[in-house]
Amino acid sequence: MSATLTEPDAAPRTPTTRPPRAPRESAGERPRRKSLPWAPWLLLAPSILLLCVMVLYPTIVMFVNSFTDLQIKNKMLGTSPNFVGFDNYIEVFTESDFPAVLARSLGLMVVLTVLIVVIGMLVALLMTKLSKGWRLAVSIGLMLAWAMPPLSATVVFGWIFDTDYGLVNWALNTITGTQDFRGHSWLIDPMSFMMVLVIIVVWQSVPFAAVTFYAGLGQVPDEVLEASALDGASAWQRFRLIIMPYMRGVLTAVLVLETIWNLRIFTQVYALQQQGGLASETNILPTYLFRQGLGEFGVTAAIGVFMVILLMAISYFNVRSSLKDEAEL
Amino acid sequence: MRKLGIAALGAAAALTLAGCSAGGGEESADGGKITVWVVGTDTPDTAREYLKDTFESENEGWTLTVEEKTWADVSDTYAAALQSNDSPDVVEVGNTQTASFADQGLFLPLTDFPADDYLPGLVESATYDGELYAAPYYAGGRIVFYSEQILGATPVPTTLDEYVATGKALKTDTRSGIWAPGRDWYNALPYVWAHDGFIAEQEGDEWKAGFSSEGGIAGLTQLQDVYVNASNAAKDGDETDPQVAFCAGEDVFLSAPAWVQWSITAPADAEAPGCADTFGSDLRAFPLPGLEAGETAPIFAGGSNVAVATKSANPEQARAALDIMAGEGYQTLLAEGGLTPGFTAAAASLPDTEIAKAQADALANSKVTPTTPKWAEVEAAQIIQEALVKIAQGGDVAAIAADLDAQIEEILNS
Repeated sequence: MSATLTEPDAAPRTPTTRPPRAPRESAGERPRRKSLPWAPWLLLAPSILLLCVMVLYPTIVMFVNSFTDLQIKNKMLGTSPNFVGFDNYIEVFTESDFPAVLARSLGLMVVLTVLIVVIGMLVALLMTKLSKGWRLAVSIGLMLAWAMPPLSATVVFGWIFDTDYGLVNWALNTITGTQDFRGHSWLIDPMSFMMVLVIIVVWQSVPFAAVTFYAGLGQVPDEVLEASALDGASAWQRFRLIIMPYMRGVLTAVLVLETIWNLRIFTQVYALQQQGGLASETNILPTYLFRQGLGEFGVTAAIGVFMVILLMAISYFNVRSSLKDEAEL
Repeated sequence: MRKLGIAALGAAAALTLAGCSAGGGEESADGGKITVWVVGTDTPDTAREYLKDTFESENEGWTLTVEEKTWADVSDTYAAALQSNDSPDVVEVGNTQTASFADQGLFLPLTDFPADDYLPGLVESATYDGELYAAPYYAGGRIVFYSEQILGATPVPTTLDEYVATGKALKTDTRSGIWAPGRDWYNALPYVWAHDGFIAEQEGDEWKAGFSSEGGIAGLTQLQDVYVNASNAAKDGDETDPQVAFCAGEDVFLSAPAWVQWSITAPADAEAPGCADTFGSDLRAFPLPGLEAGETAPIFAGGSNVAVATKSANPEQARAALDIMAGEGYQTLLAEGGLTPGFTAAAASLPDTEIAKAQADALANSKVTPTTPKWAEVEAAQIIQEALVKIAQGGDVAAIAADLDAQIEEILNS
């Protein structure tokens, strides 16, 4: 039983490490060509079914819709939509504000991902140096920020940065002893809007990165670190040459996840746009999609398909390059 | 033995799926639930209770729930909910949006509705392709509130120019002469209309937008003067909770819907605090004056309709609930709450106060947005609000107006 279960597990293990050990194992390994192990598949079946219903089916429908002019009307009256070929895609890509939205989304994604990974790593390293009590306090603090629903967090930050009665304006006026910040709008300027947005998202995303990195740091063997320290490696060298290689898998996972999450943030941007600023100059792909006309399913599906392809391309590139690195180790 | 084990595995795995329990449907011929969506806080509690009690006593075994939505929900949330199988049964919808929802097939046509007894403007907004899709609910106009404690000896302005001049003169660092947040586009329209500008007019088959017409530019220029020199309100703020600044003594003039009087005169320790004891104690109001003394500026005829959702599981009971909301008893309660009732005869119950009279005078000279199903798209795209925010920031009025007109024409003529 246990043999059949570990069999599929063994497959992805790097093939390059095998040949040297082959002579010892070759005796019993060869003739194993068993029929499909179906106990694992049976265990997987419900999840696969669920994934098909919840992920695969909507994706296919979205793909199909992106080539039609489907409207609410079609659904309500039971008529079928017209096939329009690539019209929706052409409409989206030739829209005058689309390049700006795309550039804004990608820029925001890069800034957010870099900040989250760097700050997350610093917090994780900090946690390894803390005493037990402080570590607990930091962990609880991280969890609280993480557990806060994004909408509530955004509304609260919106109040903090409020134009008329906000905490930030009050504090800045008090500190500077002037009235310069009375009625200062933090959201009306797109760059300033993005700054507030970055603060909100980073504040809430660092906990995940920090906790994951902290777990990863536990895997770095102490004896290697100690040996290198005795050999005179500086802290930065130890981090770069020992900790980072051990952490590569964790880092890749966090990078891929953060990239995907940061390219499709919606709640924070949308809620912040409700509180001020100009939606047309602060839209990113998901809010741009949402703000298309009422029930414009074809165009929104086309944007959706584009986002899926974009995300898959970015993740593929990331995963592949990290697998390559791993193989070279 | 082995087979049994595998069967057990399969069963165990299937059980994890069962974790998501099936939702219960409540279908039965003589009992069930009706859900009514109202928008905003303006429907008085007395009316909500009246609706629930009347409906439940007239329909044995049925319950009715009133849910409150916000105006921000009315476009997207409504569209999503109304086409789902879990659709609300009766919904309140803005008068300017009714045609577009009817066009998408989201509302059932109302047959045998005594439309002649209702406000003609609202009936027109609810009529699409010759059929009535919604019952007129209420109309509302914006009036200018002030407190004598703040206005002091300054006389109440009699022309629009005087109003703006007074607002500018009384503005201080901490006090708005005229409270005018940039995204409050309903309050911006009177400036455009008073100077003979227009939103959009039909010329043959084409729509022509008029913010960049001569009158439009004149109105928007005056409005920019208000934003920049008379108002401390957030340039990118919207019109929600206008009572907060007013009750803090930070407004001289506040142009807002008449029902805002209840928000202002609420007790200071209410859940939504007002200022019954301070600036709300001598609350007064007048209709926004026009260019000439003695006339009023054309205001936006706000209002709502109520409709039965096409996807309502129980359209018969939904219609019964709608008939109560459009009926005399309910409409009288709306009138007592200071809302101009859709049912014309109930207007007799409007309170005999200065504020009610100001609203009636203001509404006598009112206009609506262009009547085309495409108009809802203009509202959803928020292009007017964004243009106003740019004007409030001191941008070039002519360029912004020309840009806005191009965007409106693109949507209306698409």
